[in-house]
Amino acid sequence: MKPDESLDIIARMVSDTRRSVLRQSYIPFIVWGVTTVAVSILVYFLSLAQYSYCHFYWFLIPLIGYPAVIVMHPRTRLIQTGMSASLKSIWLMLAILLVSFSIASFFVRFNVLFFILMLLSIGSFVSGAIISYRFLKYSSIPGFIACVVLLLVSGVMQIPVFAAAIAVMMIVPGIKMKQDLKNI
Amino acid sequence: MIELNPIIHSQLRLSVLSLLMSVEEADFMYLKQKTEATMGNLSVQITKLQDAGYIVVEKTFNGKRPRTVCRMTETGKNAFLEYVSALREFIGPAFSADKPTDRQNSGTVDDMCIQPC
Repeated sequence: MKPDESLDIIARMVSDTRRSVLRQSYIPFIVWGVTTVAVSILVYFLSLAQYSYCHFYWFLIPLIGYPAVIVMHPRTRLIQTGMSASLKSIWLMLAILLVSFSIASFFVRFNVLFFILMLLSIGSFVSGAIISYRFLKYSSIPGFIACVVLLLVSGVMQIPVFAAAIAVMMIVPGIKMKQDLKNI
Repeated sequence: MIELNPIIHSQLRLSVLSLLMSVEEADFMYLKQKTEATMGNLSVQITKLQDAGYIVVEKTFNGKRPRTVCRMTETGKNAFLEYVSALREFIGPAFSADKPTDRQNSGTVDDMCIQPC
């Protein structure tokens, strides 16, 4: 084997790993993003229809999102990187906080969508920083801006703002990552 | 005369080490899929790398299914980095004067993170 070929092998394998890391990242972003936006739209229309139990429908997000990620992501366990381990711990902690806030909102009155969006924006920003994916980092900025908007609007009108922010900071970077995979 | 480490300087063993270099651990099936090697050949090469102390192999169970996980050791990482330095010296001026278009499609080693991320 010539030294040139060795370098090509190394470059190809490193590039393959980079592709695997991006693949591990984009699927959860798209799946959770689409699920959250879809459920938000459902809750929005149910709220407009003044359906009393509409807020319970928020729990469809983990009920649909978690199995969907597992189904669409069967090869996750084949590879473990330092990055994927860090991301896993961060998102696990955020998920616990998100569920806690959601449950608490049934007992204490507070601007729950603001806190949830704030946590998701932080999660996206940190994920972008960890996997060194600039687009993801910057796409979390509209999330932070939407948090401020959520302080200004109230009631059912918060839901479209929340859904739009999720679409921009989760679905859009997810699709961009998927496209970028072709160029690596 | 620069000598390239003969344990690493084999297509399949180099592929395995390059893959393991940028991950914490990788499943045997992942290595098989990426290297496109046969199970038998891959097993033999992995054993050679294990005997050299470059990787550790752990056999576990995922439910009822047996699972083999490979991880690079510090010795392996150092050997790999030395191998890359030796390669660079070996190619020397030819590497810097190389046609950039030849490597742009896959990316050069310089462009990529070969340290454990």
